[in-house]
Amino acid sequence: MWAMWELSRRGFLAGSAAGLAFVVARRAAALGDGAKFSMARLRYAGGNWDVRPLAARRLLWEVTKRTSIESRAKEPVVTLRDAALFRTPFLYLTGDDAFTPWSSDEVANLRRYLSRGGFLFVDDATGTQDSAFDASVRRELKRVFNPDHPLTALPRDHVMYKSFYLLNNAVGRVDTDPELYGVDIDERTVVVYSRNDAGGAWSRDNVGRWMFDVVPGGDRQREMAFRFGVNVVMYALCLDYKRDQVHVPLILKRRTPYAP
Amino acid sequence: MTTAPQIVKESTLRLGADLPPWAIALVVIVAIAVLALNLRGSRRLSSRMRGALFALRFVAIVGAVVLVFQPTLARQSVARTPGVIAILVDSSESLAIDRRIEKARSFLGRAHGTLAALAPDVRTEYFTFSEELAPSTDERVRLVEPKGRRTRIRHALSKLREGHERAPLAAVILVSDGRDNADWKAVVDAKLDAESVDFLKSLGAPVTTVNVAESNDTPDLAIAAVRRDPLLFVHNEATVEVDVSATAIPKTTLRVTLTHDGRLAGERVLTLKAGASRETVKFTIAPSAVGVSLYTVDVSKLRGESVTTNNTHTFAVRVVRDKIRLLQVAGRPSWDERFFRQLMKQNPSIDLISFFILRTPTDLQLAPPNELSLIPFPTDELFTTALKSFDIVVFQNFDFRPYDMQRYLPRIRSFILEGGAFVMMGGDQSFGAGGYAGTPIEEVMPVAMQNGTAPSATYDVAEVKARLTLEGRRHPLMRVVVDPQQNAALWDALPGLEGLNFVTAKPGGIVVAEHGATRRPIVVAGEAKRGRVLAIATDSTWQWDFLASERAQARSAYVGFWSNALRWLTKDPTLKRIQVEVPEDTVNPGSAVRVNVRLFDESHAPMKRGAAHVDVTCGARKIMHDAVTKESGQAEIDLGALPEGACRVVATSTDVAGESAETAFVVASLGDEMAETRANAALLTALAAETGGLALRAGDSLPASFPRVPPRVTRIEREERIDLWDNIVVLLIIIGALAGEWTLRRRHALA
Repeated sequence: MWAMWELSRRGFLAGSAAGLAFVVARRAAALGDGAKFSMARLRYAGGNWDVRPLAARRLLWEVTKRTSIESRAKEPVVTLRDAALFRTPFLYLTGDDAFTPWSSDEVANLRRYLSRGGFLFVDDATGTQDSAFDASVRRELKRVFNPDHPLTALPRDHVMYKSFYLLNNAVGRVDTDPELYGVDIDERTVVVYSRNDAGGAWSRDNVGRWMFDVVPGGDRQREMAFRFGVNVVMYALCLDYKRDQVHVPLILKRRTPYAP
Repeated sequence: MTTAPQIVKESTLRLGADLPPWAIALVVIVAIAVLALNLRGSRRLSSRMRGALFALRFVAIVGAVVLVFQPTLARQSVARTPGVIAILVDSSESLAIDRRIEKARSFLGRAHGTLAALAPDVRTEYFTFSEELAPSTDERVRLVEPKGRRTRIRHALSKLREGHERAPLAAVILVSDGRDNADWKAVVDAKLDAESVDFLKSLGAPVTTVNVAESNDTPDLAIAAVRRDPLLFVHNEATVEVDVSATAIPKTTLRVTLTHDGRLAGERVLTLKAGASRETVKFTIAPSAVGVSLYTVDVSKLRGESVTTNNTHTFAVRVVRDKIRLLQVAGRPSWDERFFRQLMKQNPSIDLISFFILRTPTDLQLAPPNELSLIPFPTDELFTTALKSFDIVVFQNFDFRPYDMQRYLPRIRSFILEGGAFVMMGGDQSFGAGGYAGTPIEEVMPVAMQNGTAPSATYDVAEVKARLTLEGRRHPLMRVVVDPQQNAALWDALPGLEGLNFVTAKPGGIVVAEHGATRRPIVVAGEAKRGRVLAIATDSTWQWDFLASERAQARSAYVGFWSNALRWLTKDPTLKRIQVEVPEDTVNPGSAVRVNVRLFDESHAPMKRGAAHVDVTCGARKIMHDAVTKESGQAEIDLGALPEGACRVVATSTDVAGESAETAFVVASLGDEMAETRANAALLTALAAETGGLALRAGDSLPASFPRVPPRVTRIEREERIDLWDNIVVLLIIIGALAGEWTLRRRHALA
């Protein structure tokens, strides 16, 4: 079976996915809500924290349908001062305007949250270059991490682009900035920042209508935006697991059974 | 070593006049010329007269020359140091082969008379040698038993030279089979290197060698050498190279086996050509446990072999852990999986392999396979060939049934029973909800469970609060901080967990944490033969980490728990309350063996005045020893010298109930005396040739004229001088001779 590792990457992955078709699984629920995945929407002062109120819910629905991840039906809303912040290791920050600088306690809380294992996904709902929201985000992240952990563009071979789907870029409602930005701590990307309004592409109202048009790619671009969202969730839960997989054949080849 | 000089008297004639050689020659020439002229002037005389005149002139001339030369007779008492003849007799084990030692004794008996006749000019000293040079006597050397574990001829000669810097060696007689297995083991063609030749010259005496081997070749098979790394890593392959030497055997095919703990660990078939040969076979081993492991190599015994003890060789290897190899299989991505993986990845001592089920066939497939990064779950590779390469296997909320894994469960059970570690972490796809009830996995788990999918039957989603049990307060798994009260308080302060799988502890399973309200087990530890198992009946231990950090608590509980768990699961010796160590894995025969036992109290602090007991088993011999630990918690036990062979040590203590520690060591020579039993006549011949000695065989006798350095005078004790010329008699003789000649010439009217 290890001969598969010698195949080309695409061919190998194609065969691999085909292999999954033989398995039979059943849908089940995790023990408690704490074991299920959720993304906490971050509420902040100033600006518009709730500009994409239905985005996270739809993304989680897609994640649940497309992957084995179990998600909560509702996503909590937290502030950086809430004790509940640490009940959800995934934080979703979006907006379309400048927001009030966080207090020093909030900055420290976020720093501890991220350094202890939390994850922050930031999405600029304006979908424009040099937005006021972008300026606020960069200002606050600089307070949280700078200069030790700057916000930088993620390399194209980052696991974020292959944690579930194989992606070449990360689009949203728009395709303004081809780059994803992030902050790394201890070889873990703790912040991922998209400027293409991914939440806009994910948003769907309660009667099933897409809330925003996706330009310029239409439905295909919306699908790719969901794939990007799935990858973000998958990365948050599996970290660099997919980097492991590339190395599995070599790692296992090193291993040997006991002496006969 | 010094030799007492002998005092002897000697007389020497010297010339008193301080004349240069040319003056001496001139005096002699003049004297001869005078005598010649005397003969020439008297040739007409009768021969009688002529003879009388010549005699008188000769006496006068001689007398005159004596006066000129002034001869002196020096009579001295001198100290003359006799040379030492050193007899070196090989006492190594190889002399037992083919009655070589008896031939050596026989030669010494025959040489005794020859050596005794040389006294007092020489003095005979006797030595035996194998690994070291040891002084002996004429009597004792003939009774020596060949038991030495090495033959170091050069070392023996070197020590002999050091001991005789002030007492010169007259000769060395080396009685051996030439089977040097140290500096000169490679000399097989009667050629020594330049450095060895210089060394032999520095002895200053010829070496006469006596080869006591009838032939170089006596039938023998031997484990000539075993090569391996002194330090091996557990579960890592290592190569053991075994050299098999054959001497004087016909072409044959034989088995070479490697055993470990009485079980066959490898077998090779070796074909040896006729005569002498040396072949290498290789074994691959992968030690399964940390500590000292004993391996034994055996080569077939052939009929007619001169020695069979060298057909077996036991050696010890010290096995350490490089990294803990952990296989994490998660039924789905979750926070519990994620925080566990993150912790393991941060631990440099962990080599982590993760497999997560990212998608099931019931999930929507909105992308073709080539747009997905998914791979198949390589069950066959993981749970057949690769399984035993892991130290710990973790099933984290993983239901085995969809992956046709029933056939692998017995293998996983065997993996555990043979020393592997297994952890099952909870979730809606784990324990009974994962269908493990009644499987080989449940057999080895410390908990019983019931299959089912209904939450009320197999698990509960309500929040549970973990509480340490009495056993948990003492168990190393839960000992996050040393102080027991602080430790319990830390656990009590941790946030609650969300959900609990329903399990019941089996007999032998130790519940270390339970739900405070219902007393349902949360963490249960157990042992399954040689392996260890851990059941964690929840999928939210990550909240001990992340949620606890909200309360600004250190991550000590989550990190400490898993650190303890990894060490406990892999039986890390440092986690044991009783530890035993023998500093040397291989102890030389005759050397004292020391065993160190360390005891620790429940908080893992050194236990002073603890009662330690060791049982040592060396073959049929059993030794028991008791000791009390010192302030350091350590007791040193001296077992004295032990017989050759493999020994196992088991340490126990009444103060540490239920625990024991084991180690092992080998009492064996560090040398390889019997690894090759062929005699080496070429070396003995070369030694004799380079030093000017004789190369004798065992049947020869020592000739009286065997090469040796003559004794030398070391000093003059007393000297007496007699001036032979300063004497009236000499003058009267000269005057008388001249007067007689004058009288004869006057009476016979001669000129």
